[in-house]
Amino acid sequence: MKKPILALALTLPFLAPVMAEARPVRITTTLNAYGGDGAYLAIYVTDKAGKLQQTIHIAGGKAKYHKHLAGWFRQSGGRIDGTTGASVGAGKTLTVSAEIADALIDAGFEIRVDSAVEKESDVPADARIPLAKGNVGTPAAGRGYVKSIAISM
Amino acid sequence: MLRQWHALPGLFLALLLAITAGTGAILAGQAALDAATAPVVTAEALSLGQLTQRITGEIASVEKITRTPSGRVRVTHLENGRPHSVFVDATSGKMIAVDTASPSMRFITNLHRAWLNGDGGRLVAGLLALAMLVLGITGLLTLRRSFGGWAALLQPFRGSGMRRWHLELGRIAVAGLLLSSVTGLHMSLVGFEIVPDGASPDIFVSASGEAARPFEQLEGLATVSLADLREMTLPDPADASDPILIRTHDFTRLVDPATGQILREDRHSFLWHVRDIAYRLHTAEGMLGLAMALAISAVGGVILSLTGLVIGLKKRLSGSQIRANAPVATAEILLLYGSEGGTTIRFAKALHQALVAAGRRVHLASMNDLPRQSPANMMILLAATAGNGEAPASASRFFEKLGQWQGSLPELAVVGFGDRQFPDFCGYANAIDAACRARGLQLVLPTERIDRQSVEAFSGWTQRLAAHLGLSLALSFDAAARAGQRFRLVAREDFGAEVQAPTAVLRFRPVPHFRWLPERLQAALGGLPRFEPGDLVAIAPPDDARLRFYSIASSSSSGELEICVRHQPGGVCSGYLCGLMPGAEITAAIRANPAFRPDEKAPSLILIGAGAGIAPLVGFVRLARAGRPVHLYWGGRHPRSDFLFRDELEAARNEGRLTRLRTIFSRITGGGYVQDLIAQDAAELRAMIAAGGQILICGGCDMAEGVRQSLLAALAPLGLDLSTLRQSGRLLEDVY
Repeated sequence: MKKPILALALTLPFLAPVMAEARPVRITTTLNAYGGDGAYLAIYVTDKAGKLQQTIHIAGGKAKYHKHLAGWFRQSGGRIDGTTGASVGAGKTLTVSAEIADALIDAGFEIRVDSAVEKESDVPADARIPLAKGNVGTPAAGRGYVKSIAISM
Repeated sequence: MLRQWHALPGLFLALLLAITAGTGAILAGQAALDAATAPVVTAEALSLGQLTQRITGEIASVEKITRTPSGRVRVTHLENGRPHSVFVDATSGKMIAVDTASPSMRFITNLHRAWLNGDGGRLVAGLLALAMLVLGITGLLTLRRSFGGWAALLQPFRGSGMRRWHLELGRIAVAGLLLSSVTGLHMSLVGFEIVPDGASPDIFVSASGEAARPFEQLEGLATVSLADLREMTLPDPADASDPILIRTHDFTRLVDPATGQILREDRHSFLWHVRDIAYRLHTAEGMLGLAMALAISAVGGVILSLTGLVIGLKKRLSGSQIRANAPVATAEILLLYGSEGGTTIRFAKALHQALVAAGRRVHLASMNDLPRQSPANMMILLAATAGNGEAPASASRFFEKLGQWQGSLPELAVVGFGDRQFPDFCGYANAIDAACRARGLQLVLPTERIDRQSVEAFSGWTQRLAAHLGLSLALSFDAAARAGQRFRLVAREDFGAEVQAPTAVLRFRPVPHFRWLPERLQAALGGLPRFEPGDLVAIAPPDDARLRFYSIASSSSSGELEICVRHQPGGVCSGYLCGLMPGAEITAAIRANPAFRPDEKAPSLILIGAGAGIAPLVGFVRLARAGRPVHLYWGGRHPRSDFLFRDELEAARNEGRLTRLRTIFSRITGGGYVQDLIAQDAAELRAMIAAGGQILICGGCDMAEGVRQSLLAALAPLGLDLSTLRQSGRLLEDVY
């Protein structure tokens, strides 16, 4: 029982400098009131070409439907290195926070959201917003189920 | 046991099943409507390349093209930043209509498959599908057992009310409900990943990334036609490496949008097809006939759930389940019934309860459930007769089981139930009697044969059984009659005191259970008893266990219960009734007596009776429809003393409702008995009977015997005997 705590106590001082190179980013995704069942969402960080860097959040609990979040799934193979949660209802807003390395900010990387609704559409890269401090307070519009995406840091 | 498997899930899940079936009916109805209104597709041979080219020429940002099971082509595209679905004409690629999934249909779908509540609801829906499957199978098996074979399922059912509805609807709806439940269960198992869905593994391939060429130039699309399409997903325009995905009946294919090459093709697995068939059969999309059949059976399912609930509740509320049934291993008495319609079970349960109340350990079961051995020292068999001396449903395997009996032989008592109007009266009980004697069982009471479920006769036999066992037995349906309906005496008329035949005509009004409710409402709610002339009323005087039965002269629609009681010398019950004064209340129970009712189709009625036996006959005269000849023969003692219903009968004759009123009296000079009138009118009666006339006799045994002799003599020239008339229902007797 004591060992994990001991290990944590020993490693924490070394971790602290690494963590200082990341910062918390809040991502707010608002869905259109499309009048259907809840949407599955994948929120992840890519480079300009769409290459996956980091998964931030997967909304929607059933792993077998994750393949419908095609942009993210094709690259991740379904492995989730971020948080997970319930699917998001039509017209609802989802806010998630994540530590994002400073190296990814203002460096041409962006946040993407894939969306999918059962029996309806899969919309890869439904919404995109560059990870830039200049974008704080300026939401970007989505092309599918996502109405808008905004970041704050 | 089987019945329990049907009854218990049915009782507990009835309302949930009704909702599942009801929403299912709406969805199937919608599928039927959708299939019926689908346009004829003319461009089935069109290749996907041409189709996509046409559609994308008309509609921007196409994301997905689906061919619905009913043959429509649906296009999902992004418009103003939102996905939209439209139906298009395959030939032109132009939009025909917007696909609007109404919120109410979505609500019903979600209620049907998930109780509006995610995985928990899906689990409930899956369990309900399982319950419906169990109910369907156990229902069929129960039916087969009680009707003795599958062939009987195709024949008309007897019975009435809720049970009849349940049976009739059951056999119509069961096939559709079984299909829906099996496919629904499979979908649920796939949903919970207990059964694999057979989808091809999620391996993604990337396209070349070069500039996309027009769809009609892509070879991978040219080789698939619209007829084979399930759905096709076009690439994300922002991602050049995204391939085109095509799903057909047979395979999933990924096509490079630039080269047209097939990047990957997976044929659907067996499990995929199983899932696909289950889904298509369950939703019946695009299949008009199936959708209609499923809708009808689902409506049947709603009614089955509700009638089942009512039947189950009634059964439990009426306390007809077996209480304190001793296990075979410790029973002192084996009480076995062979029942056809369920009446014999009622007698068996009443006897079981009486024996248990007297402190005996009794095992009650059907005769088919005769164990191989038992420590019981007594076996009681109550057996109905099916048809001509055949075994009833729940005793069909009794002889086989009796052959397998091991261990010591218990004492035996047999009661047969039957109808004297049929030639082989209690034929099956006679067969049991003989077989058991041959097996070496010792009958401790002579085998009793009960005519038309006579509670009186059964009570008498029970008392003999009680004497043999040294017990005091009180039958519960006697108690039930005592706890029956209250009636208040409103009028009495007395006759016959001068000729030593004191007889009273008594008129009662039912006392409602809820005195504050209007009577009409009570009657509508079933709070007031219903009866017709010829039905019986069971009455036990206070402090007396034995029930007596009186024929009813009135119909419940008149609001009065009218009976005729001859005060027998020393008679306990007749003395009690004849001593009642208006305002007094009695407790009584109605027993329907459908075996003694005029046949609507008979061209003429011949009513014969004596003394108080006039009661049901006067009732039949009241109900007689205009134009049918009704002849009444009745015998009394003296016209000025015991001419019952004189004014009413004479009025009926004068108005023509009674064709002929023939009376005879025994205590006047030149008088005689009713059988003398029959002999006098022999020629006329012969003609009426030859033409199909029906005879109804009511009165005492001696009178009935005399009448039979006269009738036999009258009919001799026709070559007719009375048993032929009885079998064809043209001679009915209510004799006491």
